[in-house]
Amino acid sequence: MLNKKLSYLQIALNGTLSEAEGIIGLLPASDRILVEAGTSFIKAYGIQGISIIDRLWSYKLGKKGYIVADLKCMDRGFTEVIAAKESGAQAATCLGLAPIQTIDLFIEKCKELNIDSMIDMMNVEFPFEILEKLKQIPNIVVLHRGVEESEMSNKEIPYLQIHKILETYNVLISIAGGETFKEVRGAIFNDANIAVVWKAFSENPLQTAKLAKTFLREVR
Amino acid sequence: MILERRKKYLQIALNSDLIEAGKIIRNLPFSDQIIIEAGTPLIKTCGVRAISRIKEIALERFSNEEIKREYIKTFPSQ
Repeated sequence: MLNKKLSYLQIALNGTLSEAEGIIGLLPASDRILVEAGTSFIKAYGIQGISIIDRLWSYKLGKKGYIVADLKCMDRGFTEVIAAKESGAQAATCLGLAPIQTIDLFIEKCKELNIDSMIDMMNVEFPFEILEKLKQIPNIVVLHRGVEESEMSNKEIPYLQIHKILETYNVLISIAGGETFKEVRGAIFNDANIAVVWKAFSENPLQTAKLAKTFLREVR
Repeated sequence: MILERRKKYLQIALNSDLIEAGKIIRNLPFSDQIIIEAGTPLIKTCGVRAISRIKEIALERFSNEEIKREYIKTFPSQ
């Protein structure tokens, strides 16, 4: 569903429903902005919350928007994928740390339901080794520096993994864990297709809606 | 610590939907050794209201007299 030649900015919504509404209102309407229903948001509001985000973003775009359901599946992935699809999501996430059988079933179900499968490699030292074990590859690999990792340690955004994966697999790469425009541009410059941000938007939506506008203007 | 170290517990995971959760809870025997789990898929589907609804159903099922202590624990696994 996403174009490999374009770069995308994914905005993760993790606050309240009214905050999500406010942030969506501030975002520039563009196909290159992906809106994510974050895990904590989904746990708070369920699939109904995803449906509301989908309606708000699609209304703003004037057509169906791209919504990512950050399910972070670890088990029973396929049941959660069905729920995400019904809520209007066009992509769902599964953890790379999940059992291989779970990831395989997750990818299979996503394919069957025609939504993009994202495998989140947070806390996976060698993402390549996970991909090697899978029956079929996902649409998108998420290289992830976790929130606590970025706040409490000096862990770097895993740019080095990007080329290693792209040399072998026909996937899109998403980089999560950067927050500034410099980090977003760095991710795209290092051949990622998607840069994910969350913190800036939840802390200062007005100031950082500018990040989205700058992204659209300066990053192709 | 709410649970007692010397006791054994059975934890019933509810993972599908609230209707099925209701059917299961209504058939459970009353015991403080039974723990009801709001499973991750159920929470992701219904949100946190799944936890409060499960608690309501359990409270309806067992009379106040039976409830000698807080016995419902919820364990979102993520």
